[in-house]
Amino acid sequence: MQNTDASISMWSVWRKLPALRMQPVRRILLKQLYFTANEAYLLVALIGFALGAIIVVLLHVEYGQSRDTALRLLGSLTFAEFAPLLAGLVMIARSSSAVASELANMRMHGEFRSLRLMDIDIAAYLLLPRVAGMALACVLLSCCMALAALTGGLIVAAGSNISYQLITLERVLSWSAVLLLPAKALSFGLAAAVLACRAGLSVAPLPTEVPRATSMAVMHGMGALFVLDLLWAIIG
Amino acid sequence: MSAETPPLFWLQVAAHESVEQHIDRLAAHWRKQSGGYVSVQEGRAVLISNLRIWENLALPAWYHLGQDPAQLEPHLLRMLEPLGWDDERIQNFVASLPQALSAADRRLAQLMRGLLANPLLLMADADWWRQVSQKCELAQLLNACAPKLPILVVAHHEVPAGFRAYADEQEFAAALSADSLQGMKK
Repeated sequence: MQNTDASISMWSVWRKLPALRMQPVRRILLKQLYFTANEAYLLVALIGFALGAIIVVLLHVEYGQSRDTALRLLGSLTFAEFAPLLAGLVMIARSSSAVASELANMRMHGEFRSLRLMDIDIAAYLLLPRVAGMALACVLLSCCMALAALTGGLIVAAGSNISYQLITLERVLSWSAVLLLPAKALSFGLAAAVLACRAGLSVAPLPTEVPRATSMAVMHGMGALFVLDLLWAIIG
Repeated sequence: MSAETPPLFWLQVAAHESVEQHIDRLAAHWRKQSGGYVSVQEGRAVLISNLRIWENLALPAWYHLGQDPAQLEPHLLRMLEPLGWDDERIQNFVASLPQALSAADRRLAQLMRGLLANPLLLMADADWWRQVSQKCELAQLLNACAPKLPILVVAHHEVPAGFRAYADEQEFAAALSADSLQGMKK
């Protein structure tokens, strides 16, 4: 059986961007943001807080760096590197598999055909809000993780003097690291979302293929994340 | 069916396996030719699994006409009147996910979804028509809400009495224009 859904190109999804003006499409986008960002922010914040504290303990206590140096390193490491990477990994583990299995199941149960019979565009109604939602969620989760890591690091490093550290935050954070965070996170989120949709669309509409779609979404998403991170490191 | 029967058409196809393809092609043809909405009704009603029934019902009108689902509520309640459901039954029905409904209720939701979008034609398979031919809620709903809506059944069975028969989809498409369907509906 020919899989016509696999031929939906991701370029055609972006050409449907004006469809976000439609209320039912925006509703799917908000649902995607809710499930991807809102339901994961506590876990991401916890990971970020622990990460920030661990980095400062290692740099300050284990390797004998000064408190200011430890915090400066924490700022550049988390904002430019760890936060988008780890938030992207958490998102792939939680949401890429969910998106891929949802799309594969919808195809298997004939819901794609049902939407087409109602003249509803698959790219505009199903794919665009999922891709846009996951990309935005990745940016939000990365920001959440970076801020939580900074908080964790500041608390461990400064203890009760945290108010002083907050005033001198500009010494800890560089503008380039702060601006790099959303750009990287957006690229990671887009890649993960596109690959998750592709995985859901590419498998045969059979019950045995749904787990293959979820596994493919996670594996391809993680691979793409590290390749993209390497590219960012090379061009940066 | 009631004494006031709608215009009935029957397209006989060679193989049962090709019914879906014929329905897909005809639906695409009618959309392109007339811009008019054709509602497809099948025995195995497919609803969107991650939307509640009220979202499923509102989806075509919401997507194509930009109608707020809240605006459709009075229309929906009027539709349900002939079924004599109480408030609790209605609430349970509209708030459910499709998987929680029986096959008969899913077919009712499929028909309501189609009728809310004000179609020119109902296109159905033989399985759906068999259900309508029995004295069930589906037939009650159809008779009460769209007694004159033209129905085309695509099936590989022999043509039953009361239907105008067509041998192929081009013949049907050429015989009926959007205007003539609109006239029949009135």
